[in-house]
Amino acid sequence: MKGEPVVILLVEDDPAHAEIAKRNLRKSGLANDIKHVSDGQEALDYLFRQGGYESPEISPRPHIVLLDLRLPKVDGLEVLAKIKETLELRDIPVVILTTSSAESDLTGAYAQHVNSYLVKPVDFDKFSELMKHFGYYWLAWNQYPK
Amino acid sequence: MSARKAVRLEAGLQELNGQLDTKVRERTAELALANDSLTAQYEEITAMNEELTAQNEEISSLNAELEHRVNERTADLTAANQELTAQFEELSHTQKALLASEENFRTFFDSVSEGVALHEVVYGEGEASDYRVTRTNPAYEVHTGLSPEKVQGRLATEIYGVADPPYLKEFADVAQTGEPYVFETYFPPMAKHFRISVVSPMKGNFATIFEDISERIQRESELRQKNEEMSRFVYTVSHDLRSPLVTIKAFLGYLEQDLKDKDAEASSKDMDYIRNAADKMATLLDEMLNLSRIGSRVNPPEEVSLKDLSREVLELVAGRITGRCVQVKLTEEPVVLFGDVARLKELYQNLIDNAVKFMGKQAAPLIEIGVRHDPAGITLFVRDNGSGIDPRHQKKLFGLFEQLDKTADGAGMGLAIAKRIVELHGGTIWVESVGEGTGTTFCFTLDQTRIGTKEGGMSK
Repeated sequence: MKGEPVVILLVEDDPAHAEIAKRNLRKSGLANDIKHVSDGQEALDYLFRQGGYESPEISPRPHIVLLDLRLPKVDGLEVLAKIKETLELRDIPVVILTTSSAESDLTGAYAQHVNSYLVKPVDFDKFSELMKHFGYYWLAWNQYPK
Repeated sequence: MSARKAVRLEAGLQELNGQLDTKVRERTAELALANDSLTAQYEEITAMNEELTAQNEEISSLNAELEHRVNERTADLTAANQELTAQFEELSHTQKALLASEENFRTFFDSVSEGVALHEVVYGEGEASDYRVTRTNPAYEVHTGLSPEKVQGRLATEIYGVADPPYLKEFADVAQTGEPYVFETYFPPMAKHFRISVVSPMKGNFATIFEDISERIQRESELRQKNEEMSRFVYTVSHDLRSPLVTIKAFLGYLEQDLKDKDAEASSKDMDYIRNAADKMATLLDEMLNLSRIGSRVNPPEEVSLKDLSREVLELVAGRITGRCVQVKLTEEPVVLFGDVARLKELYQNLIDNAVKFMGKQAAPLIEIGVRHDPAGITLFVRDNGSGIDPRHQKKLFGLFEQLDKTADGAGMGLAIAKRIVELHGGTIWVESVGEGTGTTFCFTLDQTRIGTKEGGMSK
């Protein structure tokens, strides 16, 4: 991973939350390349290289998908299911980052083989802390398949 | 005296004497004979007398015995009579009680709110093949609409006009085993839900005691729907209200940093995020209140012509319509709607607002308010020639806080509210759109919509 930035596909419909995630990842000082899409359909278009994302130049394969659950057009759980049922995509770690701690979402996500499930804390310091740990874990420590 | 005379006298005397003697002898013999006869007779009489005495004794002994037996018998009979009287009294008492009980039972049978029907199972080739109604109570008619004349003595297959007698197996089992059975069921021939309790008063017979639970089932299903709606609501609220809060807290943190750094440009940017999130939250709260109002306050339904209703709504949204130069076409057909007029206005307002909002790049925007005659009945619609909706995303359209386009204003509740209003009026709502760029048609049905003019004029 040395030198090569980790590509993160950030699927987040709320522009403010996307901004928070981007700022925190930037602050981590770790090399990363955030690709932001704002709804479930766009996420699928990016991953399946369709609907304007045909060129691999603009849709490099992400190392990790940071996925919100309540999304316009196509729900986060549906995006997750599509990723995990697609042979070429299923080894990409998917981390849910949502405000929902609903039992149905948690069990639903794990049933679809989610790799990690994070709940956005309302408290700013905790949110920053969470993003810092996320950065260390997924950008520095985690080993990705070649 | 002469001798001769004396002799003659003597001779006469002798002759007389002889004669007398003979006579005496004759007489004595006669007497002896009579005596013998008398003796014999006496003896006979004595014997007879003895016999009679003996007989008499026997008779009197018999008589005594007879009398004893008669007495005995009389006592027996008296006792028996007393017993019978007692039994009779008891019987008449029992009969009275029975009559009272029968009367009670009849009153109960006739006045109980559950429908009761007595049946006998009809067997064909050893198997239960049908059942015959033998008696029904008044409530039976109330629940089923079938009078006793129509059902009593008739077979289930005839009464309900079906090939297979309803619940035959269940009923026959009860009639056979005597084990009571209770079940709830939807009865298609009458389109009603019943709770049926089956008992068997005697083998081969069964009684059904049933109540119409359609209303309860309806309420339960409504409650379930409300509960689902409620949990969806709580879910979305917990998610959607937390989201702006997360934003506000986060950007307050950044703002603090900006102030320390004395970075005016960044502060203003961060404050914008905070302001937007607070606005979003205010809109959400307003719309939530709006949604809760729809569920709780329903004005009494009344008739309103589509023309009048549309006009009022178009006045409300006039600003937006003229701002976007939208042309509105209203059907010429006279349609009368029936419902909570304020809510129906809100329904049309939401659909027209939605159409205006998603007009897209259409150069000649057109909204059509119309009516269509579908096989299922009258379908009302609001059609636009705007940006259209991808069929893949249509199912999420009516959900709470759903927005296909997050950059659009509002909280994503307009169509959820529209759906709620339509459902409150016993209808359904759906969207017809081939895809993006082809325009959208929102179709819905409302209970008791009819073609015609509103009674009491005001059709113009």
